Amino acid sequence: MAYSDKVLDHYENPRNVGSFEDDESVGTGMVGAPACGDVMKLQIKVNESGIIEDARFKTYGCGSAIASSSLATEWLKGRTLDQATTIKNKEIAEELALPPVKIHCSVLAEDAIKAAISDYQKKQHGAVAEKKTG
Amino acid sequence: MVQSSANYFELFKLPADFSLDLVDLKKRYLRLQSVVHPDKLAHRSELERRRALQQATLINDAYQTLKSPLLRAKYLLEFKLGEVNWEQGGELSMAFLTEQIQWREAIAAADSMAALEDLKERVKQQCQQLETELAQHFKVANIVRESAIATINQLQFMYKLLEEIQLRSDTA
Repeated sequence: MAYSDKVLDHYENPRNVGSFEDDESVGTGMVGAPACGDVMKLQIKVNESGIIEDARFKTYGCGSAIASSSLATEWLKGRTLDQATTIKNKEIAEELALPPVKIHCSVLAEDAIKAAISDYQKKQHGAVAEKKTG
Repeated sequence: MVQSSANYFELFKLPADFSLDLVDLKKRYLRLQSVVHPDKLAHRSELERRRALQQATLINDAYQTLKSPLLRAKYLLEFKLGEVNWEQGGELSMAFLTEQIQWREAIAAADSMAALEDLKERVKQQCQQLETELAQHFKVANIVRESAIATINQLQFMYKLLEEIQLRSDTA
């Protein structure tokens, strides 16, 4: 099966590969797809005004999974958390022209975004609760 | 002759259980296969030969499925509890996924055959642990669907690691 030019571009030059040191400003999303054994780690770094100032990913999987998460990190930068939650797998799949059998790769990327946001929010709630009780 | 509607376990006259003796399974497979081998039926009618070929295929599929602990577990779970949507992985723990990333990093970083062999051994040990867990899941009368699926999914990831190690070994 041939990959689209956009998938190939992200696959050959993945953006924002790597990871952040874990701290309060970082949200980490980890997801996996048992059927293909793909694993994806996506992290967001949120500044004090609640804007995602940076994003990183590490994906072990097929070209479409790598491209989906690479694109996701590009799209996440500069967004508020609310804006980030509006990124849907369908947009990722369309942008990358993923064939139907590879749609699940974009779903994985959307799940990773959601997981990263939820992890960040959990940390923030935890921090607020600590301040209140402390 | 072989009943084409028989399930894979019945086909080999084995109880529908996760634990099985691979040597015994192979013996049963070879015995069955020798009965229906199309070459033996060269003098028979076209229809008989076609039927024999179908049966040989069925026996082959059955053997490949039961031979692999992963495929056997999936088959057995669906046989006992009905169809499972394997695409929907269910919840995988953060710890497990972190470990998976670490395995993948270790495989990518392995710079010698010895290092890859070492990783392979360690992954295989993990597989064995998961297989022991699976045997426990299937031993009870009321199989806990979610737990069984979770263990099978984990095993699937470990198999993927073995594939990746093999791929690296082949290209090293």
